[in-house]
Amino acid sequence: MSGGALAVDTISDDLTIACFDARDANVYPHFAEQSVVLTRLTGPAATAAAVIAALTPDIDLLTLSGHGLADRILGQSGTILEVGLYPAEAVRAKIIHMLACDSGELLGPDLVANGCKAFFGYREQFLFPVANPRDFLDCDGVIDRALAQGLTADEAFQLAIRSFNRTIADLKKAGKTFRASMVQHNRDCLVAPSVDARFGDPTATL
Amino acid sequence: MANGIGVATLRDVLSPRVPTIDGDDLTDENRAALTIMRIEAQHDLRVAARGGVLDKARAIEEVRRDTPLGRVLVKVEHQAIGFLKEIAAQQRRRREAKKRPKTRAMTSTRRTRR
Repeated sequence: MSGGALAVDTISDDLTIACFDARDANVYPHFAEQSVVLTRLTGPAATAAAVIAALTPDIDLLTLSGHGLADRILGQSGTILEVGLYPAEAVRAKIIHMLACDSGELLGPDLVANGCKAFFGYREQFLFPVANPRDFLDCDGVIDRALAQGLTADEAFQLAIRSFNRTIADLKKAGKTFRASMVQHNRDCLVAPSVDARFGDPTATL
Repeated sequence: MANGIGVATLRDVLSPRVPTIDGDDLTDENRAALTIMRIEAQHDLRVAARGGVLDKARAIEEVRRDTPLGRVLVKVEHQAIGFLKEIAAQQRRRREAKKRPKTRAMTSTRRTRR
């Protein structure tokens, strides 16, 4: 498919650096293969003003990694996006994926209420081993890759869940039960239109 | 907990002869205490979470203070114990299946003798 995507990555500590590295290596190259035009705001460039300005009508997907609270996303120099403090037209008719803790709690439903077509995020804090970030981040990356291929929000969610389940099974088989359990916790915190209508339309595509 | 006197080993938990309580039957305090013991027993712990890298000391502190992250750690640890029980039960079933006499093979032998 073709279209536009805005990738926002805050890189402020080990967690956000690991998220950025995984997406930079495994997700963004896939966008180019699918002819998705990618705009990137990384590190200190990812400010609230820059993100809002970059959410132009030709952007179909906002994919973001950073620290999340229930009602906001934190950047390196303050809040990037917060419930009630962004123009609705910035998110209208877009699919939004937030690799950010707690973002599914209030911010996700608020984005959908303001016109976002579909929201993916996490309703609690996620965690992953520093030595094995791909346990989790590869599963989350499936969402963006599937959306870039033109799959629906529901198909992207199902593929991601399959990836989580495969990882959990492989880790259990290898006796890595604590790692498996972290992946399972993260899987159970993933929210999407397939989980609840508050997160948008399961049939949405880019 | 085994026999109301202390922490059960996985062997105790799987044994029908040792009365144990675990999972949802444990009190919140017991679950937290068990999580702290298991974190302490880990060779190394470095987990990426909001607010930076959790090492053993910080993880234990989060559980002790019953923070949202501490509660996530308790949940993850107890799920991991559930996985351990599941794996051990599967291994036990496999061992028992191996010990059982192979009925099919005997039937086949009889046929050969005819």
